[in-house]
Amino acid sequence: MLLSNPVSDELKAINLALRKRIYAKEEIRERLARELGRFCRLSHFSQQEAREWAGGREVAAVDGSVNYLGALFPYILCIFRALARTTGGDRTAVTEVFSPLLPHHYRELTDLSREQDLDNELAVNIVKERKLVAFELQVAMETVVRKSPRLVIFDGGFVRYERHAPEAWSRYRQLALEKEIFSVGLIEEAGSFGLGRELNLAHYGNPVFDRELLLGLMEPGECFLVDFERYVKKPAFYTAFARLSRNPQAVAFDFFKEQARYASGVLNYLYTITPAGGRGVPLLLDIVDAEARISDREMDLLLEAYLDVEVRERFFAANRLRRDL
Amino acid sequence: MQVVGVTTQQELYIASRERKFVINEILVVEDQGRHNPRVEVVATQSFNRYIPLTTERNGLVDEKVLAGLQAVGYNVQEEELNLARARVIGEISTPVVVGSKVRRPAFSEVSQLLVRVSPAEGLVLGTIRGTENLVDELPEDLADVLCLCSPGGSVTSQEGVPFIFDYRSMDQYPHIGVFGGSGSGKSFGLRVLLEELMIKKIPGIALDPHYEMDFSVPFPGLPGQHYLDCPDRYRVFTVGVDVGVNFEELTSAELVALLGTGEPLSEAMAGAVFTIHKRKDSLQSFSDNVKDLINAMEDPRLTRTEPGGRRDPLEAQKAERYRDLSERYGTRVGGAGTLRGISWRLNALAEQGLFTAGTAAVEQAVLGRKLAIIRGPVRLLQTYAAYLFRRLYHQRRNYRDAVKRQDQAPEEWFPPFVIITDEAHNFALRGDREPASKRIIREIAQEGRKYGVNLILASQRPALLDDTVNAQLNTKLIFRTVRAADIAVIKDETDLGPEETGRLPYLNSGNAFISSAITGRSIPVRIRCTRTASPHSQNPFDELVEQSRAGDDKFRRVIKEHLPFPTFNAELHLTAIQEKLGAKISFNEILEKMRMLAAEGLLQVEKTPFGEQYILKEKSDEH
Repeated sequence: MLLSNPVSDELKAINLALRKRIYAKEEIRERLARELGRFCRLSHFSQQEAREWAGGREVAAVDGSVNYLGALFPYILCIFRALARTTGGDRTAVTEVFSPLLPHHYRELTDLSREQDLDNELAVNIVKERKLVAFELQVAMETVVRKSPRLVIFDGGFVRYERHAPEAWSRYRQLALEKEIFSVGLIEEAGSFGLGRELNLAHYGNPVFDRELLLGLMEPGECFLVDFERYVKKPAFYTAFARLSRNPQAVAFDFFKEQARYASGVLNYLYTITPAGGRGVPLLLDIVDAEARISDREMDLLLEAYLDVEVRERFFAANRLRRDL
Repeated sequence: MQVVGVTTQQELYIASRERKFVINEILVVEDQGRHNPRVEVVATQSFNRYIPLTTERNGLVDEKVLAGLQAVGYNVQEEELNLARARVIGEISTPVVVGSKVRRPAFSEVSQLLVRVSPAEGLVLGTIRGTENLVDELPEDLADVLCLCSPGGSVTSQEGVPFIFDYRSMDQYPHIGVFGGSGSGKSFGLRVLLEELMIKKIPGIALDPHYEMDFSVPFPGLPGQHYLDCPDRYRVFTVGVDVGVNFEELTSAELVALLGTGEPLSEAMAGAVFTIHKRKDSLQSFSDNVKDLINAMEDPRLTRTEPGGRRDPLEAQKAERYRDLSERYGTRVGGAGTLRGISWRLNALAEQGLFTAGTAAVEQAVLGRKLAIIRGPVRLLQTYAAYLFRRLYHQRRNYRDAVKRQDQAPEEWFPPFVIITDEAHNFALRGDREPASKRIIREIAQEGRKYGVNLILASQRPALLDDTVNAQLNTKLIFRTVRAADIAVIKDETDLGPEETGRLPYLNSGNAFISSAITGRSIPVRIRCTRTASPHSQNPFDELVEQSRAGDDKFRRVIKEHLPFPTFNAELHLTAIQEKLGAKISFNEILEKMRMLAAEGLLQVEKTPFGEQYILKEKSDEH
């Protein structure tokens, strides 16, 4: 590969600029502990402790996935799939296919774009988020009603649910609180910047994201619990951070404010079911993720089996996939 | 269970969440289009996608994680998937439909594949591996026809469908090879074959250089109905005692081979034998000729007639004979030393009794449909066997040929028979040398089928066995084999696929693949428990312990009577102890044994003012 000088020079400059943005670990730790909350060590539950903590109830995990065919609006087709699975093996799944090529789906889309004053193409993204969130909540709800688990682990933060399906979310929240079902939203790539904001950190007006601060900040098995009266994201949620494996990137966890006092118990349990050498995500969530996801190969097989060649070629085939190089 | 992945007209994959596959089990694929083919599992796998192989990309799933999930009711281990590679039995021309359901067969659906003849009509060699779950469905005539033997030596009941060898088909596909390294169960398998031959009253000749072919002792722990009580079905002969060579019937080549037992004859010696030996020579006439020729060559005067003529007509006759011999052979047999060598060797064989008895007794046994077991020193046995095989084979051949030619007066009937030998590569070694044994074995291998003479050749080293002979072994029992050269030969000479040959080095003792033109495919078999026991089955190390324990016990019994045993005036006891033990044992030896007993904790040393003395240890456990 040939790189002309300007590109490499620019990259060097960016490197230098970003290096300046890296804060000293000790300073951040010290400030966090002084101003926002406390660092704690998590401990593995023994099997007995785990049993006592669960009180004979199961643990559930919820995940959703979306697969695309096609790229250019409106020649797209999405397959939504949401799955909730309990440790007892109970599974609830919802699947839906969506394509703006179909009149009723198209109408759904245009209604939204008119209402929000958006392009159709942008509206697709919103529809996608809404549907995914709705399906995830639907399977979570069914599981909660039927199985009343000790804990429901969501793949992703709570903000998503509140934003895209406020009514369903509030119904879920109410039921979960009523039945004392712990709920936790696990955010692998913490895109929040609450910590930086609270510490008044900014870089020439640019917010400093939590993930920047958290990388390598904690030891494996350490967590940062924000003081209960402080909130770093939304008043309704309580957020904690933990490094559950040797992977240096910490993970963020959303709890209901009302369940904040159970956070350390939940974190201990999540720490227990997270492989020490993995990416820091509890195994159960990975398992549900793997089950919910439709692999590219499965997707190809499905489409080949149920769409005629002509339909596929006329409506969905992207010419760039035919590139040889 | 269902068919997954890519299938071919020969192979397919089967997956199951619930059930582990058993190697070699036969399953039915419900694919109507291909008439529900039967498949055999040739490789099995289990995996758990959530507990993957730990590599640089997949971390280890710690035990605490699994325990933590188990505590809330999730057993990740149960996510295990089982996968089998299976081979279609028989031939289909299109691939099996992917997604077809797969199920375990009922016995009636696979009976044709597994059992060709009833136990009454075939040799019951063992059970077919992978058929364990069919045992409850077996019809009465196939149930409890054999016992199995666990690796520990204990007898268990029949688990699986019996493998019954259709020996009558050896008419089409003759000869059996039994291959396997030491400890592979090859000798065990050979014994099973011999027992079955005796049960079916198929006459045979078995060579027994190790003196282990005895069928009088039941296998320890064998239920009574399985014991083979067959004293009248076999006879044991020892070369030089009750079986030998009819010297008059020897060909010169056979005589050379016999004389070459132990060490091959030199070219000069062999040449001399060929020169001197004549058909129908008796031992006496041949050995006289040799001896007289030696005399004549060593003392030429003996050949001369005294001038004026001898008085003694006997002397004159002798001189005439010497002259005659030296004129006929003198220049063609080398020196007297060569002849003397022949004479020594001939004497040695005669001393061993080789020429005192003929083969009549063996022939009688074969005629009586018995198994003739031939024992003798290894080297002699080999040379002798070549002679014996040739003789019996020719008798059988002459009879059959006469019948075919529809002679008016056919030869006397001689039955078909089986020749059984272990270490067969000694008889027909691959390579250029053509000893008499190899010639006859090869002849029978190639033509024996026509005459109903079959070979059962066992060997640890199939790679050393003559190629022609190997190729004629239409059925092969292959036990554990480790050497690459032998495995390569097995690959060439059987239909064993890479999965099976890959398993050869790891087969348990007593497990074998039977690759046979008769069954058409290789079948994994667990050889049955023998009905009788080999006299050599005791582990020599067990024997060592047992024998020395017997000696120790005796010593302990004797010494107990002399306790407390003072070391300071032990001489007082010495004679009495020696007498009771019936052995000359020195004072020091006694002390040494006492020290050992004390070290084992059976005696105790007590200090007295006079010195040490041994006393019985309190609560010592007496064996």
